[in-house]
Amino acid sequence: MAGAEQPLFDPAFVRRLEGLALLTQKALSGRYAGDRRSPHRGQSVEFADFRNYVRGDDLRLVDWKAYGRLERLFVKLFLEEQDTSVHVLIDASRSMGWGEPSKHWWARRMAGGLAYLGLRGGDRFNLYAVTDRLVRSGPHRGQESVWRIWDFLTNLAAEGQTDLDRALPPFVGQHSGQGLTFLISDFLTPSGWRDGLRALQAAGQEVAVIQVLSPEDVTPPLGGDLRLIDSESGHVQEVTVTGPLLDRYQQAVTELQEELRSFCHRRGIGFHVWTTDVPVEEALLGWLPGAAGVAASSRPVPARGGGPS
Amino acid sequence: MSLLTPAAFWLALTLPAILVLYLLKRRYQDQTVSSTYLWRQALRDLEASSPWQKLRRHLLLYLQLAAAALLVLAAVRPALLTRAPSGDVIVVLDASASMQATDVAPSRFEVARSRARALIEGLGRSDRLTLVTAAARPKVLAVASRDRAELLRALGAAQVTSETADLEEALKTALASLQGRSGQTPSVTAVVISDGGVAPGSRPNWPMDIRYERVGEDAGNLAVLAFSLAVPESSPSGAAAGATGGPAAQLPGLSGLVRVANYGPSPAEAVLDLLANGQVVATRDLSLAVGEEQDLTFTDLPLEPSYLARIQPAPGMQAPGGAAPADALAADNVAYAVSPSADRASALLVTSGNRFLERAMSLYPGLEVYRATPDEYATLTEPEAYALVVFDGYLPDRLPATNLWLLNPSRDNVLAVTASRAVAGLEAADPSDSLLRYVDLSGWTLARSHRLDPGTWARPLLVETQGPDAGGVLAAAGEKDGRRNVVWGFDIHDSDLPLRPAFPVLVQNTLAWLSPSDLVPQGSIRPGDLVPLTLPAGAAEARVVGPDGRSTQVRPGEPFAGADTPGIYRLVADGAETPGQVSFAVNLNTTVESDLKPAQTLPLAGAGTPAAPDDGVPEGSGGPGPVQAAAVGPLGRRELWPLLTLGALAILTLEWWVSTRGY
Repeated sequence: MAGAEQPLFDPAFVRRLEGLALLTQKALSGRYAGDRRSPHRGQSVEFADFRNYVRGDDLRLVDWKAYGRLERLFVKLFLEEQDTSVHVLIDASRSMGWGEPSKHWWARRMAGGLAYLGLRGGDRFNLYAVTDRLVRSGPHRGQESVWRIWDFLTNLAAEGQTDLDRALPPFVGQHSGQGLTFLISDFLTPSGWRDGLRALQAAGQEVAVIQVLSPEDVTPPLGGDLRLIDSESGHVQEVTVTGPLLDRYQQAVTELQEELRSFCHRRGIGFHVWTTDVPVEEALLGWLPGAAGVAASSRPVPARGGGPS
Repeated sequence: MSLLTPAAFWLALTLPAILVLYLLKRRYQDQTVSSTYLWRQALRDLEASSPWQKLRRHLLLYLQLAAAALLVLAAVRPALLTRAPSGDVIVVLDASASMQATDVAPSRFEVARSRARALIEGLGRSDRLTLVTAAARPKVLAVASRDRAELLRALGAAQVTSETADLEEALKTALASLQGRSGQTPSVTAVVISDGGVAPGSRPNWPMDIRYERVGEDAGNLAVLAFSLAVPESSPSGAAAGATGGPAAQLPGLSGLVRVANYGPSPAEAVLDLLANGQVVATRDLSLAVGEEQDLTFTDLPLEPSYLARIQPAPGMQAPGGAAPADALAADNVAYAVSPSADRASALLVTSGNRFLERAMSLYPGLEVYRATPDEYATLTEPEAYALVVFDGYLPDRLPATNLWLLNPSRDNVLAVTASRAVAGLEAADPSDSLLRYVDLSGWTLARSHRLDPGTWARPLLVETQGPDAGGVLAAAGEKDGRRNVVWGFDIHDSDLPLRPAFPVLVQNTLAWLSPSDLVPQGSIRPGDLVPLTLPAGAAEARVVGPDGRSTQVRPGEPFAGADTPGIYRLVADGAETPGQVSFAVNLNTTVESDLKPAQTLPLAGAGTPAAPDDGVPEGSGGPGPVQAAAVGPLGRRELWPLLTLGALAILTLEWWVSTRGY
């Protein structure tokens, strides 16, 4: 399905990203996670407190002026400098390659946009292609890295099967500390996604989940006797598509979203649903600038062909 | 339940055909979707919530199969048997006058016709139907036909008559026609559609199963049962003296006798009118109790040639609540009568003296007998004025051109005669001859007689049995030139004949045959009767003018067969004198037809099974008892194909609905 598609990153898109960046001003991570003090103490210029020296403390941190007056060893504590990074995990399974434009295209464009905004804000940026494992690109720093990321995205094909529960736990070992993690997927995975999301959170990251569906996923333009072939697993399901079945299918879509939404809500994970007929920049604009929180900007799935108003 | 066209079952092949087409059509189209995950879930949910979902997936197929199955079933034409006769079926349609009754709309005959139609339409493919109407003479409309169109056409041509049905004759005729067409038939069922008002039969055994399909209800009916006119006796009958006296008698007014009846279930007020020439001559108000018969007498009626008696419900008397009509049968509301002949036929007896003969002749009613001696006869100028001239032992030089009775002719006359010789013994040439009816010839002794040569036109009456002249003709009769002649070759005084009881009978027979008053029969003539007519002397042919003005040619010796409607018929012989009675009245056989109460049984002496429904065993030997009326109900087969077709249509409509709804 990913045939003669619109170029992934065309100049018009870049111009709009530029506008978005001007609007947001701040770093993506700051926008998301940095408005409050980091709970972690660390090395930074901003003084936080003193404490008694214990053996093993870095002698460089000893406040020698205080020792001179009080003859006791104190260690200066500083607020740790925010070394935030942005991680974008993009589902690159075959099911994403479906739709017009394909979810894969839309997801890559979204990832590219996030990369642009993140790098421009000075964040470190990591990109992962998720199938049943993780393929990493990064870390990247500096705005000029965006081209490397975009190249990576352009060359990223939709193949293989998703297994979020298997692919995501290793992410915990690779990252710790502050950061913002986006997961872009259609979540049409029979193997489950709960463990994967839990793993993302376990890495201590702020997590935002973006479910992207094609309008055909929401409202399949199907009828009659069909042999449905799963684009990912090749699984074949014979169905006679009737009105009640279509109703029931849409209900299943809604149920999946509600499940995701309530799961994310309970865990403080941001959750967004988009269909591919909504332009990426519009999606970005819809929730990045001025959004008070992640959850507030999430919105229900629009009806087929509908976009954000 | 039976299948009328089981061969159509091959159409059931459409069912597997539909199945095959469905399977061929049901090639699933491959369709790649991003994931079947949600589809599987939706299917699972759907099947869990509606267990018949699997069935619903093929709902259209099942509907199509059901519609096709129904159509196939309709094509084999299943039918419910409702006492349907099968095999060779004889349908006897009662066409008697009582079937004109309108107690069941539109009339009993039409109801019978529609029942017969139901029978025809329910006919199986191998069944054959013979259709007969029963009237005075049965009419075979179709014999052993399988062609429904032909049968329906024949049925449409059936006509109700004013006659009395001779059911036995109709059954015999139908059976004979059937056997003439197809030889001995093993199983014959006769269905008599009638109100039971038929002439009683006597044949005890019928080689078939006779069922009686009753039509009609117990309906009210007013009837004129009988009507006759009479001339009061004015002068004692007997030989009137005076050879030249004309047959003119001054008669007083006619007297009429009318018998009316109310066969209705309620008392009736009625008016009886007597009409002559369309004018009401006398009228009488009547009050008739249930089942009452009344005799009404009328006197001093004007001397009109014919009368009509008409009974009508009194004005304003209608059946209460529109129930059974007060008078369901109109045909018996009128009766016709012909006035007795005003001038009786006259006969001239030319004899020198024969008391026996004179006396015997005077006993004959309807005949004025005049007597003349041979000398007086010679002075008569117009002997032809007499309808009959009897020459006893005398022959004039020229025989008058009228009916003749010659006794003991001494020479050749109308017949050649030999000399008179002794007779050894005699017997009747043909005992069944009407002239010898009721005549006992045993013990007759005849001394002498001439021998006659009957020639070509006469028939011998008495022949000699013994002696040299055995076989010689002693008496003969015959018609010549339109005139009737009887020749006795002997003088009655030469025998003991006048002393025997047979003599007056013989004379009556002879006069009856010779008498011109016998042109038309007296008494009651029923529609459909064969009317024996005697043409006036000298007339080679004549015609009968019916009440509707239609005239029918009649020839000598042939009865008139056209008396099929009630009314006055008149015999007209152009150019010939028609003395005596020339008109006759035809009236309904009210004794059989007027009581409209449908009979429970058919008046057949014995027949097959009394119409036990669906009793397929014919008892050809004839069960005891009369034929019972069958239970009221539809006759024949009730076909189910219209229902099945409607069902198929309904299913197809449902299928269309389901299809448009996208199930």
